[in-house]
Amino acid sequence: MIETFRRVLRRLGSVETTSVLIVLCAVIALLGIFLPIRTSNWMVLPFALLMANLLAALATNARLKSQSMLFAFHAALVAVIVLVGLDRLHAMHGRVEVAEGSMFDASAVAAEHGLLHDLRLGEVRFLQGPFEITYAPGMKRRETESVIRIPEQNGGWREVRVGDHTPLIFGDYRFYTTHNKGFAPIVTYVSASGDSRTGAIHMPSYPMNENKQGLAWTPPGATKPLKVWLHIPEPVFDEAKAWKFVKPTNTRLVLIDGDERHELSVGEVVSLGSAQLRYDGLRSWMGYTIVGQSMIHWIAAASLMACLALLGHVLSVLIYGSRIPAAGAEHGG
Amino acid sequence: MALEPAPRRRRRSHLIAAALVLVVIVAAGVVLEKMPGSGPTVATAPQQSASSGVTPFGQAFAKGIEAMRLGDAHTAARAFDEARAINPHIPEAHVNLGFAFLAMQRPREAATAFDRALSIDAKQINAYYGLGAALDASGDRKGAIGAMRTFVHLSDKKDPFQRKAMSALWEWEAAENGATPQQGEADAKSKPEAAAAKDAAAGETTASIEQQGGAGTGAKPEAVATKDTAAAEAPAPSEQKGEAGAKAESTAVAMLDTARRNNAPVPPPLPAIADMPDALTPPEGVISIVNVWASWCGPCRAELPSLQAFAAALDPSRYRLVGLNVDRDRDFAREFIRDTAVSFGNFWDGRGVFAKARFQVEAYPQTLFLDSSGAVIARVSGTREWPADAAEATVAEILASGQKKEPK
Repeated sequence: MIETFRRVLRRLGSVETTSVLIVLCAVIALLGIFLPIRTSNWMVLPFALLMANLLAALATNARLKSQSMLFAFHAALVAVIVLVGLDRLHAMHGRVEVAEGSMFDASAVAAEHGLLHDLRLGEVRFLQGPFEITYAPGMKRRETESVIRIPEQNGGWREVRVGDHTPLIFGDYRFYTTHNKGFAPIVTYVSASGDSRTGAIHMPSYPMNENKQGLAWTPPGATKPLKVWLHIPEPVFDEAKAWKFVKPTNTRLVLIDGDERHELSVGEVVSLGSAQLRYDGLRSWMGYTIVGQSMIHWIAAASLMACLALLGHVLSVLIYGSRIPAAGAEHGG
Repeated sequence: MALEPAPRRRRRSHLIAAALVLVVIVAAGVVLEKMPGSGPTVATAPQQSASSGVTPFGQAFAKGIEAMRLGDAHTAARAFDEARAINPHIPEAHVNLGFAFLAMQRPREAATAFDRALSIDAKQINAYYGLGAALDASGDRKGAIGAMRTFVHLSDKKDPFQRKAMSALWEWEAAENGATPQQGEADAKSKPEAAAAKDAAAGETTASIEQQGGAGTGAKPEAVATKDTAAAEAPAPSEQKGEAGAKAESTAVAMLDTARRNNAPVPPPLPAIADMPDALTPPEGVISIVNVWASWCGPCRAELPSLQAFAAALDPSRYRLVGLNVDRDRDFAREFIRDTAVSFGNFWDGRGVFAKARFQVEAYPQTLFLDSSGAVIARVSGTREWPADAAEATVAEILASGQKKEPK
């Protein structure tokens, strides 16, 4: 019985099994590019088998047992795999758009997270300030610097500047600016019942959608969407030149309600049935990508360990050469 | 001292190696995690929201519109008069002042205001409508007929006030010719529309606007059309009066548009080609040049300015250049056309269904040349130069390029 178990363990930990499983994982990874299988739970299976293969090899492979550095390398690989698995279970990735002058709203985040992640974005509080983006000629986006204001207990605000590579770190979350940003008309909508709400309509990303600054928007409490179009009278940039992202002036908000078309300058009001809408002004919005604090440091440490161990093994082979026992000596492979 | 057996020694060295791996990973992980991540901090107050600026003219004009909406013609007249004083060169200020005077039953002053508007811009269509109503109310029937005829001539056939204007003309002309218009059942139910037009101009405009569901400041000719229908179906004096109020208001809004839009007119809604599949086919002796384009297509956008100049250079008795827009959303296509000041006529073909079925167009832009039978006699796929200074030679070159006439 024990001997059978050892035989199975040796077979599982053999170099042949390793080769087969690595090829299998590679094929599945390649297929995942073209097929939606990458979201399937079955994707875990080949990688779990590979992990079992690695553990079995550590337990049975004579060469691993006889060479400490090689053993350390494989142990570090086990650590990497375990950490990556834990990382996935705790991972969180989200996107959010915040209008200038608005507080971050956790309910507006589109997030994906692992089973063990405790989503605590509700604790994040900051105010979006202005931001500056520079473009090189040919519409090449360069630096983004977004001003974030964080409320402090004494009633003041702490100002930080974040960018594509300089995150805002909030507890377990990191907020990075992205290419995604645009204009946000601020409107006040007074419903038929007299409820007044002021908010921002985030128009499509600019300048990516320079030619289509329009979207469908359903006012609060309304059942039918309005079509909203932002009329920008003057071009904001010349593609051939360097420019900075700026808000256009003299914009007008076009509202299309069925056959009716209304056009508002800043400060103007329109009646929509028995409701009213006022165009209060134009701001901009910034899109952030949010990354939950991951185990990336631990994965990096384990990877570093694996690299060092492999380096040590290579050096020992170079130094001691043929005096290293042959692989599989213990299990006769 | 006896040596340990080899397997035990190996096992111990493995444990040491594993422990070392663990220690190194933990130590490196802690170090990496404690490394600094983010930037500087500066204490500051939150940003104040931006305040918006409105010009004095815009303020006065908006005040006039709001007053009209609330039924306060006197305040509206004062506000439009103020707007007119600030900028006397905008005809719509005069037009709206005229409608305010009409609402105050001061038709002579209204006629003067409409006249001034027309002296600034002879194509101010709404001024003709108001002038007709004002002159009729002043007793100048001939003048009223002349003004209303001009309105009918200049206005779009789909203008909801066309029908009213024509009805008024019919009544006025019949009265001028000594004939009494027949009071049919329908007329007995609803006042003749000429009278409605007159009442409209003179009546309590905004009260009815409120009653009709508050088209409000943004009432547009399209919205008014709906009201017309409602009024015709269920006539009531106040509703009929309200129609003119709506007209006045829509004029006011049209003025707002014109005044603040860098002179780029809002194009009418794009007609759907699916509703009029033969609209691209030109009359005998004319060639239709149909540019199939989309606002999301960069090459199409790049081609539009040169096509526009090209279209203007063509002899309209021989060539007719139209666009066939394949955007998904008709309203947004219209806004794009307005923003880019495309002036040649366009039809809308949502997602290019018609262009694909009828002309096998699957890539944009494409420019098709159609003869009077509707057949494609030449086709330019992709972009090309459209030189305005050699427009007809370019067309001749394309037509002579040897392409076979494609079956219709």
